[in-house]
Amino acid sequence: MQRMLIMFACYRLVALPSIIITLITSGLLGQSGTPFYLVQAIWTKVITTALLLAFVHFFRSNHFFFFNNLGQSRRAIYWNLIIPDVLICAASFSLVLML
Amino acid sequence: MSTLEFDSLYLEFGMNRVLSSIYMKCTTGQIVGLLGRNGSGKSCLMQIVFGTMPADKSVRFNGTRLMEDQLTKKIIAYLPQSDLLPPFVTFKQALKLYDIDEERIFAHFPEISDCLNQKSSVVSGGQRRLFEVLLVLYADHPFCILDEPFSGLMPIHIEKLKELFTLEKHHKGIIITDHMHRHIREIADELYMLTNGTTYPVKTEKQLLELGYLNGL
Repeated sequence: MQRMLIMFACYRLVALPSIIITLITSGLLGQSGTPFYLVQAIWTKVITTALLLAFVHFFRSNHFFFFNNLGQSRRAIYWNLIIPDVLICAASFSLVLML
Repeated sequence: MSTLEFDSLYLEFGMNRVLSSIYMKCTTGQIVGLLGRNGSGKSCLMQIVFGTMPADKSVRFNGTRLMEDQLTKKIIAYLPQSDLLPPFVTFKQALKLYDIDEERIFAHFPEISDCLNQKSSVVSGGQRRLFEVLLVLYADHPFCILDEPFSGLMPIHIEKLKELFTLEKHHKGIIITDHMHRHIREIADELYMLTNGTTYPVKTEKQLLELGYLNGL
């Protein structure tokens, strides 16, 4: 439970822009109506996530101390940013493709 | 009783050697003060010991050298000179994440209960700093490092915090660095001065004068 709370708190560093990008990409995937766009949507997410991580690395790393005290190394913090985003993105894309 | 000691620490920025001959030791039950002029490398030293700044070092906990994974062992809690709390975290959420009973905080600082549900970005700088100090102090780590804990705090809170440090040191080791040297000297059991990349044990005010930290007694 504590592990999940820490992961969620870490994810909030990028949650807003990341979820907005996921929703826009999902919307475009839904409009195109073809699984072919899925590859482009995934690459869009990969590139924007990399840019977001770079932004956090260079401009928000002062917040890492809060999570370091909770036993999170820098690498663990990055995984905490990526894992929830991948799950949300996968769920969103799957839902759009099913509809 | 636990011991944290560090030496063989080297840090260079280009040709500029910042830290070279360092030795400090802190045991649980002790407050260790670190003084030094601006730019002497105090914050770098603290971050190296905490494990977030890479450097050649030997940091030992109870005689065992701490390696790359030291953060995961939760031995040292660290209060940076800048803000600790991310702006989106409320005081209540921070207490939950750090697994601290809020009553421990309210017992000494009841005024914090007023901003318990507020995000750290909307409370005053002084209240935020006070809360951050308490968060690190009450974290379940045997040692804590406090980098300028008194900055931005009003005198009454500084006095209360000093009392609290003296109480809490019975079950943890506390390393403090701050420019409010009188407060530090008042509560510290051991005092070091960092100058020219070297730590010197300090016993008297005269030594601080000789080491160029004070310009008059």
